[in-house]
Amino acid sequence: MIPNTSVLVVDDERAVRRFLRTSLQAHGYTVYEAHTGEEALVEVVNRRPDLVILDLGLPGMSGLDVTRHLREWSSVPILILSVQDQEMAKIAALDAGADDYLTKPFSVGELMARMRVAIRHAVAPAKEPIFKSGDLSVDLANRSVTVKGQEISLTPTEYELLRILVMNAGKVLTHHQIIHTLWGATYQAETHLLRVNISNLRKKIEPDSSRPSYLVTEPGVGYRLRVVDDEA
Amino acid sequence: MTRTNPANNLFRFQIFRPRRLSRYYLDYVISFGIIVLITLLGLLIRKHINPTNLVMPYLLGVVSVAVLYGRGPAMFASVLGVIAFDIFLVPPYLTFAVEDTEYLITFLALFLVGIVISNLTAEVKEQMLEAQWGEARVLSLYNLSQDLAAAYCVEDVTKAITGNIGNALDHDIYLFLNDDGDTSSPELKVITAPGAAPRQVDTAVMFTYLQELASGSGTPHYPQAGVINLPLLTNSGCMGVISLSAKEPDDMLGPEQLQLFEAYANLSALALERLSLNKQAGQTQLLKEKEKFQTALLNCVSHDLRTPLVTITGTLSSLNDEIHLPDIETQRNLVRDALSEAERLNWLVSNLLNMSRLESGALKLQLETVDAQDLIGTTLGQMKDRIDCPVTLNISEELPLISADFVLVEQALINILDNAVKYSPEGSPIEISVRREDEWVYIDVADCGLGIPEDDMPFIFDKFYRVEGHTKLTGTGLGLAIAKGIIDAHGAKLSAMPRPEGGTIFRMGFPHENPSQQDAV
Repeated sequence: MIPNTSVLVVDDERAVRRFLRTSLQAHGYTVYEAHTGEEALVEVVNRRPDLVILDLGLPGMSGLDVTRHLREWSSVPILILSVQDQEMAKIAALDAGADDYLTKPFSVGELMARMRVAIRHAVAPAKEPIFKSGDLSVDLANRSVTVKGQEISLTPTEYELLRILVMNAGKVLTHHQIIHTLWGATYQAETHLLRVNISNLRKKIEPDSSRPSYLVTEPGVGYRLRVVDDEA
Repeated sequence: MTRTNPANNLFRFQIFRPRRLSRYYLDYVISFGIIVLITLLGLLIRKHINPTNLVMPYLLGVVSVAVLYGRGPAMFASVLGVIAFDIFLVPPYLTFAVEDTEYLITFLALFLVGIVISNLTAEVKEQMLEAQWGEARVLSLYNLSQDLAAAYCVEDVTKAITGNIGNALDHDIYLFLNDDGDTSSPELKVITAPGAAPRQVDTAVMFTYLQELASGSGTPHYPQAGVINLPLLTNSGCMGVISLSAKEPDDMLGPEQLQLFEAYANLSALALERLSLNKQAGQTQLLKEKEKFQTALLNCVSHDLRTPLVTITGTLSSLNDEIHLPDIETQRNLVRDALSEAERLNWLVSNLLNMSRLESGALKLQLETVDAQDLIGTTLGQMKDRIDCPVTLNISEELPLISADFVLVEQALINILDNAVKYSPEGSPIEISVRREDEWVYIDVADCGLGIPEDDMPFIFDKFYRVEGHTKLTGTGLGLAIAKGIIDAHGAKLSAMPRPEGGTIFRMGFPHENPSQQDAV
């Protein structure tokens, strides 16, 4: 972890802010707080945090609005906090540029993992050419994919799909984001094409494609390439 | 079937306007009498006056008859006048013969002048009558529409219809209405004008309702004497039937009156349609309210109940993490916060439970004698983690005990304090004062918060009601409703009033225990 990483916690619930402050400080983060969206925008300007933890259900200016505003001029990683029934707002926030999300209630370990991924992506967007996660290894420079050392062949679409996921390893990607990158804006509605390619890709890279360990589904939102790393 | 203005095509056939024959005869009899009188006068003075001058009284008589009784009697009077003049006033008397043929010109002039005058006078009179009739018609329609516009329930509308129309047409009016404005229902409800003979739904009425055609006297359908049924047609279907029946069997409506009746029927149909639309709008509103209620409840469960779980789950996960176990100080802080959040969760669940108990009327009070000071102390103790502002206590000495359910009133007080804290700037003081006034013990909770706009005051104790503009703060709008429900169940009072210095005062008033009982304790 980069020393003295600062986090802005935006939540209208005092109890949630207090809990996050205690937990994050225990993990060595510097914590700032804001309880409205408007305040959050001001704080991002003043404090220049390395990460924003943003509650989606803010009264007044919503978390989605805050994300859109922030993305007009800032690339600070945004981690969305949502509850189960805010699927649409959650996807909208991710599409608007939020980096990841957590559903309340969540464990501290999960929160830390998501924060690490988001900060890493922000700090080092240029990836090292070889991605490793468990038995899966992707060499972006040579366009080669190996599972347990065995080279496997992928169709151009499958490879492109995997490449996008590798570039954003550990982060959630919405259906919309993947489709947009793969096929461009004209193929908006082709989620079924995406599902077919995901399924094919899983058959080739997963040890058990019905219980995927790398390419996991985020229900209702999209997909995530899990980084099975040893540092945890 | 296209619906046009129903009145235009219901009575295309001609209905003659019958008049009462007795009245008709009387006009002629009186005209006859007038001519006889003039002749008698002429007989008295015929010796002194030139007979040609005696023509004048006859002309006067004809004009009078024309003014009084119209064209027919006037012509009758002028013919009669010529004959009487000839026989009684022109020599030789008592015969049609005249000695001077000049008199023939006098006769002719008298006759022609009589006819012309009677025609002109009668025309003027008819025009006048027409104008009066028109004015009366406009006035009666105006009265009806005024009454209908002011009517907001079926009773008012039917009263306006039966009263106004009955009076204007001098007939008994009946309304046969489909129940609840449901235009598909075959059931009709009879509404009878006060004082009218009772009537049942008959085949003619049913025919009118189902076929949406006029029936009764003067129509091809069920031409029953003295009764006319008109459908009350609107764009949303037939609202029912308006029926008119004669008070006496030979009373009939003239064409103008029929037209008027149709106009009445149209006005009535519109008024009834308006009522039925109002009702529908009301039901839609009710449905919307219910939906809002459910959404609010869902929101409450999903947001308010989950928020404490964030801290609780987070803390537990943190303590369960063997690798990154936080230091002991952090652990203590986390656990302390999680505990207070668990308490809050408990409070929220109690609130929801009490809400549903209040809703279903299942709230049972465990009454006991309660010391108000104790009540406030305990409540503040319960809330110490949630109140982070200075609380001033102002409790007068020697307070009588009150009879209350300690747990429930505590809950009500927590809700009120929670509300006060939530809508006040952080750190602004709250004052709790308890005093006795006559038979009551008052507990006031005063805050220096945002205050409640005057327009919202009557609604703040309504379920899920939230003051516009305060919605930036999370909340469900349940707390005060529950507090009010609990306090009301005690037969006590809960009211809110603006604090003169800004903010709001919530006042609970409990009737205190009987002093003699207290002495016994």
